[in-house]
Amino acid sequence: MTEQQILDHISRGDETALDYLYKKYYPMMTKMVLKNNGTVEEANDVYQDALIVFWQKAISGDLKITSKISTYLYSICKNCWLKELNRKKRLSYTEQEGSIVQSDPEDIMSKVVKEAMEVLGDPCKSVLTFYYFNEMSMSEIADRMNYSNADTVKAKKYKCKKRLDVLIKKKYTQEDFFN
Amino acid sequence: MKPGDQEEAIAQYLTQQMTEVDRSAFEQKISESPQLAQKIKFEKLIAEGIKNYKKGILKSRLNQLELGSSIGETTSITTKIALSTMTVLVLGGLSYFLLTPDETLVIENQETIIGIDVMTEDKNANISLEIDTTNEMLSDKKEDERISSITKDIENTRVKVSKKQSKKGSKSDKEILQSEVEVVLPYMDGTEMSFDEPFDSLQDFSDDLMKNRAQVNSVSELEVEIEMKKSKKLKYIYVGEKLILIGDFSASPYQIIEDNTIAEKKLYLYFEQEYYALTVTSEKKALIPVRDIRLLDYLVDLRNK
Repeated sequence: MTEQQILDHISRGDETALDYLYKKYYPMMTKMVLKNNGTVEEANDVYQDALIVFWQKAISGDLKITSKISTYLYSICKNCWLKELNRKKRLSYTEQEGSIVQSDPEDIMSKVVKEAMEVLGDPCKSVLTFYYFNEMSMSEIADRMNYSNADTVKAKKYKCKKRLDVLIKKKYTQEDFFN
Repeated sequence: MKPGDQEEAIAQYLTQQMTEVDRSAFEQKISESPQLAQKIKFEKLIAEGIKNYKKGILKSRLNQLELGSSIGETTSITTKIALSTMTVLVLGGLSYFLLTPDETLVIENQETIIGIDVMTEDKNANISLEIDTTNEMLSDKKEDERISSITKDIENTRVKVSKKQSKKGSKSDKEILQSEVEVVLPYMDGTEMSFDEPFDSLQDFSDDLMKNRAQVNSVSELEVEIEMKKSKKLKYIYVGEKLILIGDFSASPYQIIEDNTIAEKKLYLYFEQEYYALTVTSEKKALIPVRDIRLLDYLVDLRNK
């Protein structure tokens, strides 16, 4: 598969292209983490995060790639690993200082959203992930999910988001996070 | 602005789907309304939650992938055919040399089958020979089970040879034999490579198999020794069928990988997440990790098998 073919597959949302990239560059990317004091688990995690960042950029049309995919992916991987090292450093400093590590609101919300999304099921799950993760427009979602037009998707997305909000607010409200 | 419109505006703002003009106007509103700013913060958390949900799905998809099969995907059909041919030749040659009267393969066994069906009677004149060497172990010799293990496998490699006697008739009739060879390569990307074509060089081999009732003698010849040294530098000597590993190999297990799928046997060492190519040397030689990505891909695949 050429680089252009890979990018074409990604832009169509073909997740087999993600599998292909993952396997293709696995030794190269994970080695970088392993060589820099990372464990196998950290190497896997960082590489997966980097690949998903790449995927998200490519699928939403934000990717302006001027080098080879491997070079670009490598630089994302490196940044992800530096971020992780900084996070670990901060964590160890906090532990040394004896401060209480507070849960990250994003982590709490991610857990709540995950449960709520599972309750929602399809097609709401797909509509919401296409909109928020893939950053697809209403007409793109309509094409992808065989809806008649963008307005139908807009209405559907609105209803799905309302249902999601209800499920989230059963557990947390805005005030829980900010007061 | 209706509540629905405001929510739609927030969603568009968070997913970068607003025009530059609308964005500026909306940011102006945010700066004037702390309630709106807080609502956006909350909505942003939800949007991140949805993104993380999808990331989680993609990650679990990636975790389920079998690694090391990318060589199959990057190898062209021509290369696959060349590899298949080489595998047949190597296996044919190996089996020829390994067949001795000491051991007879179990016939009709699912693991190792050599089915010989010689029908020289008038009624049916079919000769079929099938060899399945799926799990043929070449060696399991262990010098020291605590610290070393040598496993030489030919895995998922199946050679099927069948001969069909096309002419029905009396025993004295001339036999017209057609050989078919089907090779299934080690699993690469889910697609099996197989081809049927006349292959004369295997005819003698299969004749010989029938005469001798197909006997295999598996001998492990590689002897591995560890010379413990606390030095971080790893070295080796590989001469004859003896491999001496020098250095500190006590921290984790190592594996010797023998690649028989190529014309010339190649030996690799896997130790602490690194692969090392071993070449014949009577002098102490430093172990240098393999860096070639394609070779690494291939070795990961080989090792996983």
